[in-house]
Amino acid sequence: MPSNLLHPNEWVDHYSDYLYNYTIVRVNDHEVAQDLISETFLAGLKSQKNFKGEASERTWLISILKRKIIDHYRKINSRKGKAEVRMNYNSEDAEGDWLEERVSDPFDRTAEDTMINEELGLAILNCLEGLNEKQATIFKMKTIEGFDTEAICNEFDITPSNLWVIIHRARKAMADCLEKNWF
Amino acid sequence: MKVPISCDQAAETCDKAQYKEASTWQKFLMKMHHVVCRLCRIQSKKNGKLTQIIHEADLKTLPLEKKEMIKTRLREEMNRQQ
Repeated sequence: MPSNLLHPNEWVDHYSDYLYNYTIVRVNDHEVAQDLISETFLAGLKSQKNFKGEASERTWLISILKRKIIDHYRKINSRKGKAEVRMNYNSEDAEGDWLEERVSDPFDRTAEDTMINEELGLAILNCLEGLNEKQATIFKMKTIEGFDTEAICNEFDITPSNLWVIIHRARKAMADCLEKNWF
Repeated sequence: MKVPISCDQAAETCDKAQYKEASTWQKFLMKMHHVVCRLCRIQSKKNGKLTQIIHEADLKTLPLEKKEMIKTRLREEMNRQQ
């Protein structure tokens, strides 16, 4: 009997942010990332029968997403071959500057930084999965999405004191989890 | 030395400070508490580190309306399959 089961009704709530952060560093375009996630969930739904239950639901969705990302780049590359490359040098004097423009920008993120940040982001989202649903949602709203206290209290019909208790518990659990897995 | 506030109050101020919602006076009392309470000092450091790494990770969340759109599409697809 498979040890893991699929719960498509819960996919968006449980995995969409994880998949979004996984995708955004790979495609660098929010719209494309959102479309790929949507396609991933639909593809997952259509191929439910292929799920053997050996991997976790999230791992299985990531494997579908990886294929979607590869397909996306294949499409782009096939289009690129037909595209005309345009250089915007208006004067002859500026012509020699192109080499400098290709030198990496010291203020830009290096590939290594991006990779570390991605791993860190996914480690944080992993730890978030360990919180109960209400804690995770409130923590996410407050810490990642930057909602103000009043808005969250109204949304969940709780007092500010309740909110800070929830935030405290969530932060403590997150810090402990990340201490084990990251710090 | 007398501790000006309790550990719970210091922890709450520390949490609020992570979101810039603690007043200068609250932070002052918290610091006074930290002078005498080693455990809260350690906890506060961990809390600050958590804020720092979350900031560094630059996490994104899928917009709520997009989530709802995807949920609707999934529901339609599930109904079609049944």
